[in-house]
Formats: sequence, structure tokens, C-alpha cells
Amino acid sequence: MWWRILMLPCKSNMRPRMRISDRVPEKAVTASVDTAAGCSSLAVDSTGFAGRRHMLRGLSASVAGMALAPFLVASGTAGPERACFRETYRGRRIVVVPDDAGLLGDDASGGWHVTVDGRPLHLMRRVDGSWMTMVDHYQSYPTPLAAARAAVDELGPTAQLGAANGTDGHTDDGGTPNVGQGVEGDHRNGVHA
Amino acid sequence: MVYTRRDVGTLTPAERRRFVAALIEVKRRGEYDEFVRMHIEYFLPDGENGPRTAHMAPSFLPWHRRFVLDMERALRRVDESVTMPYWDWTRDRASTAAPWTEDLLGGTGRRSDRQVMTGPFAYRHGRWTIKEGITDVEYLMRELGRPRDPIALPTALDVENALADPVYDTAPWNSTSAKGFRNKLEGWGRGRGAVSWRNHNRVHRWVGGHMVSGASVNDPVFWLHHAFVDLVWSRWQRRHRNARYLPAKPPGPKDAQHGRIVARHERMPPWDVTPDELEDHSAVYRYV
Repeated sequence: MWWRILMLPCKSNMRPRMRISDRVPEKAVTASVDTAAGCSSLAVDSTGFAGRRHMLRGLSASVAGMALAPFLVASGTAGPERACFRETYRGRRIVVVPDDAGLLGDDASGGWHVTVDGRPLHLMRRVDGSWMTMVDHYQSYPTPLAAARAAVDELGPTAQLGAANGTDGHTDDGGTPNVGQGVEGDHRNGVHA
Repeated sequence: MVYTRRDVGTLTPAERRRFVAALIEVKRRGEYDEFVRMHIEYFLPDGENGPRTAHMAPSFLPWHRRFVLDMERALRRVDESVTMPYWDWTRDRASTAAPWTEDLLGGTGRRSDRQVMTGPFAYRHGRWTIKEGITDVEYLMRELGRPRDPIALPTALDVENALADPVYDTAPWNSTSAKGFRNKLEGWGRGRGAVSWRNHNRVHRWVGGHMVSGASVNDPVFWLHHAFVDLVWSRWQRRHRNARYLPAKPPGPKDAQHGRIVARHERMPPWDVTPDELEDHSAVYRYV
């Protein structure tokens, strides 16, 4: 299907290193970098919020956890930039987990699985190597963590990520919405009354 | 019969009432949220695999021309006297002027949670509940001018810089195209932060709240903004009479954009329509 949207992992040498932005006041952030093997519990935790895709695929949190463990051990030599990362930023819990194999489903994009307060934050890439989210649609950021922090900035104090932050927004069945098929039902023409 | 699209600030009180009433009726019928879903679905940045039509692509302008036209048709099915007004953000720059008045779209959101509390789209009226959001928030959010880190609307000079470019779009046909009218108007600039937001993108950022998210269509100002972007495309066409939509032909098989963007005579999903067919709107509407 021409309009099918595919999510494929990028080449490892294209990934920017994760770093903490200088502009964030220290008090706002508590952070820790885990070894890859130490991320397994975090990863299971982050799949606790089962999106529609997970349900459709029958992928439960426990199955994801079992599948993930050997991957994380295997990725232990990938270098510090591939370590998972968690921090509390403005009171929100951000977790960034490398996921080259896409084991966490559609929430894993560009080899990263990101959650905010346990809810998946769908990351997307720009061609210049920067990162975007559906929360912040008209700007991109140098790292997945910067994009996650910007999403937290936009969420404000109370909002939580919902199902349509990218996970469910894209369809992979090639379907299109029913817009404009009202009285005219006119999809075949250009600018006509 | 050709109808006119007018500056939102020139609408009479009765015209304002009818425009707002039509929007709310389209929302009540469930049609509005179809538009929100479609915009979310068609957002795909250029670093991801897959074809792009709505953003970071040459068809940004015809895609949104058709999108606005479809909403205008929905409004006119409710009230055929209504047409889509435009918001000229190079002139109406105050957060208290049109379209942010009580009788149009209401004003900015309150400081604590950015909830829009004024005007017909305030949550408490029960007529504008956000159903297709990126978050769980059910009320419309705005943060005009982003007081926590202020930014300014684009200026007439910013628009002029885009209008002056005689070429519609250039390779690589994405958000990094340094030349070409399309990206100068869409607004993916170089660098990071505020300097990189131009024209169309910067306006989304200035409005804030829902307008910076993939669910930006939830704020009815989306349509007034994109009607003005559409008007600017019309102005560019008038100024550069011989310039056409580019690319004229699809990029070749060795091109990184092969199969990922829409050429002049190719179908532009989700519609069975080509950019070529959308270039001339003079048989349907004109701007005054």
C-alpha cells in the first residue's frame, strides 16, 4: 500500500548522543543513567500502559519483558549513548530506553522507546537528525531527551499523554478518514464548488 | 458561483455569529473531529520512512488548500452564507484583537492550565470538548505569545521574504530546502530554537496550547491561519505568473525522495486530486 507508514530503525551511526540540555535548571531535574542490563525493569514498567497496538498484537507487558531481557544484555556493548536514561523533570518521570529491535512496538521509533509518567511518547525524526513528538508538532530537538523535555513543557502541570500522541494517530492499514465525503463526495476533482 | 473569503476583522457581528454557529454545528455533527484525526494521521516528519503530503513536502500548500476547502464545504452545508475567514497575522497582531474577541474565537488561556475561558469555545459551554487530542485534556488550550518565554508573530517582512522567492520549491523537497517559496512559508528554518521558526510554523508556536501539537486542528484558529497561508500562496502565484508547483515530475528511482513526495500531476492522498488541479482556486473562491 503506497500510503502505508513504516517505522524502521535508523542506522546506529546516525544517532545523536543523549545529553542534558544546559538551559534546564539543575533543581528541575534528577537524572540517572542505567547500564543497559539495568533497564529491563524500566522497560517492563513502561509497557504497563498498553496502547491499542499492544492490545491488537496481544503483546502483554510480561511477554515484552521476557523478550526484552536478552536484547538488553546483548546491547550492553553498544556504548554509553545507547544506555537507557531516566529523570524527573518538572515533576514528570521521563524514561528513555534503547530499542533497536522494535520490541516495544510502535511506541519505539528511531531505536528509542520513551515514556512520560509511564505513558508512551512517540518520537519521530527529521531528516536533519533532530527529533519531534506529536505534543510539539512544529519544532524539533537535537536529542530524544530534549524532545521529551519539550513535550513535558507543553504538557503543563496536569495533562497526561493520551492514546493519539502518535501511537494511534498513524494507521498501518492504509485507511484514510472520511473527511470531505459529505454531500459532494467529491474526492476526484481539484478546486470546484 | 464564486464566493469571497474575507479578513476575519471585517466580519459584521451577524457574520461572526453565523461563522461560530456553523463551526459548533459541524463539531456537534461529529464531522469536525474527522478533520482533527486526519491531520494527526498525515503528520509524518521527513526523517521517517514513507510518503509525505501534508508537511515538510512540496504539497504542504495544496494539501492544506484542499483541507481548508473541505472544512469550508462542511460549514456551508450548515449555513451557505458562511465562508472561511482569514487571519492576517501580519496586521492583526494583538492578543486582544480579532480573531481573539468574545464574539469570535475567545482569548488566550488562563495561566494555570492554559484553558480557554472566554468566547464560544470555552469548555464550560459544553460545545467544544476536545475528543481527538494528543493528551487527555478535554478543554481547548492557548497561550498567546507564550508569556513564559515570549515570541513574536511573523512580520510582513517575513512573508515578503517568502513571496520574493520566484521558485515554488527546491530539492531535497523537505524541511531542509533552503530555497523555494514553499519552505520559506511553511517555516522550517535553520538552526535551533526561536530563530528556526518562521511564518506558518511560528504562528502555531505563538498561539500555543493545542496549536503546537499534532492536534492543532482542535483550535478553530487553525482554519483562519491556514486560509491566510492559502492567501499568501495566491499572492505568490499572482506575482510570479509563470511559476508553477514543483516538482513537475516525480523524483527518479535513485533520488532519496523517490516515492515520498507528490509531483505536480500525481495523486495527493487522501484525495484523488493532484497539485495541478488545486493550483487555481479562482472558479470557487477569491480573497478580498
